[in-house]
Amino acid sequence: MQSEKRKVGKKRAELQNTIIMIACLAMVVFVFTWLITTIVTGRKHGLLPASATVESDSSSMASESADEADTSSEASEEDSSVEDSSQDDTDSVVDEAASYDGAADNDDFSDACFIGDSRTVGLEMNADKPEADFYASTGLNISSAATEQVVTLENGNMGTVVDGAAQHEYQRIFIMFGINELGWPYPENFVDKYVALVEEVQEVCPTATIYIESVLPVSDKAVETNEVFTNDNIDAFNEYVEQVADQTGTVYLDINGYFKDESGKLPEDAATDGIHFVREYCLEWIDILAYLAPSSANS
Amino acid sequence: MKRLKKSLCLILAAMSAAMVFSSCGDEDSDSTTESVGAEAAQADTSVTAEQMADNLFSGIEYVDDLNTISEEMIEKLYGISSDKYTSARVYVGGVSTAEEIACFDAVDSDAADEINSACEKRIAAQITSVEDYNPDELDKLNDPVLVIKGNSVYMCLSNDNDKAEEIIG
Repeated sequence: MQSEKRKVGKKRAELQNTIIMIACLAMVVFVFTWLITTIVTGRKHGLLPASATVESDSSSMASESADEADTSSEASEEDSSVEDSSQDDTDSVVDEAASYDGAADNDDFSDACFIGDSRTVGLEMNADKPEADFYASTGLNISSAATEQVVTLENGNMGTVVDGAAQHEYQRIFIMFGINELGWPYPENFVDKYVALVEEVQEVCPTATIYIESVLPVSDKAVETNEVFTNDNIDAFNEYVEQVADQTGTVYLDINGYFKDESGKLPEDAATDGIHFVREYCLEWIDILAYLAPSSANS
Repeated sequence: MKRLKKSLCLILAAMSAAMVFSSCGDEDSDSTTESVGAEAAQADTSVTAEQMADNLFSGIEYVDDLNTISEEMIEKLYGISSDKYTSARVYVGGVSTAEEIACFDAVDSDAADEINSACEKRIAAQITSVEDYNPDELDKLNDPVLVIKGNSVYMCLSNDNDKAEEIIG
């Protein structure tokens, strides 16, 4: 009877050992999997986004983004009215990025004003140029810009973008419109209205050099907002923008190509909505403007 | 065989214990972004405006890419000069959302009132700016978190007012 019990006890102990053994083996597999996962991912989860911890300076950011994004550039072109030319040679792209990298560091744009839509508003907020004046508003287009009083003037009244520009003798005036007009059925209207606005600006700022910026590219995400936001549309529209510069004797700044990646689009990380640039790209944008259109003090 | 089993069990027990401890540690560090803000703000009354802004930034999920701006840009966007505060930090995004954080430790209560008015003005300007262009953003602008605590003014425009209020305390 006792030996029977002993046998049962022995069997039970063996069974327990086997269960523990299996559990242990499963644990080994789990632990090794966990270790490998940890090593591979570096346990990145939960870390702050880069913008929270890194106060990067504009030059390094411009350099980085240009290295990544700018594959269609104007090489060492100093004549800002020259058309966009695509570059296959990556080395020259890097050289180009290096040439404008940090150009805005010594240019406070205190002799300049910027006129435009929400993209220019984004530039104001992120380019860190408090000395520059910005006459821009979200949703503004070349038609409403002529009439809508969206600018708070120095006398406290509201005025149009032209009223804003009339407040000082600016040396440089940068204008960008086009993204809100992409859906317009008659681009000729866009040209006529743009020419009229530029002529008004020329009238109130006769000594300023006026730069007409090309419409910046968008990423795929922009199409989610509106199907007209495509780079094909923008490229086609930029021909009209260039016509405006030709007709008004102003300088056409073809900056669109600086921001396109290998696929001819704005990189996804350049704009959270595919349209409005994040800080890194705004700093690159202002560097490019300082490089292509330097102030007379820096030229 | 029994010895092998015993040593294997011991090793695994030790490994399991180590894993439990390490995972607890990781839990802490992973959740830093969510819990630090609230705890720091509630427990430590000496938290500066800069720290509060950082807490609001790290403790809430934002759609836009927010970044701090310089003193000069604070004056340009808010009309608040640096002689009105002892500590300030403002985070702005691009234009894709109305998300924004602005925290100030004013020099006195009058300055705090002025800063509060400047924040209200900024919110009003943002409402005008987005109402036709991006009306989805009106929700956060019409119901902003704007709090005066002593001489400090905290503004947070986000999609998570509860969290913002919890962080501010």
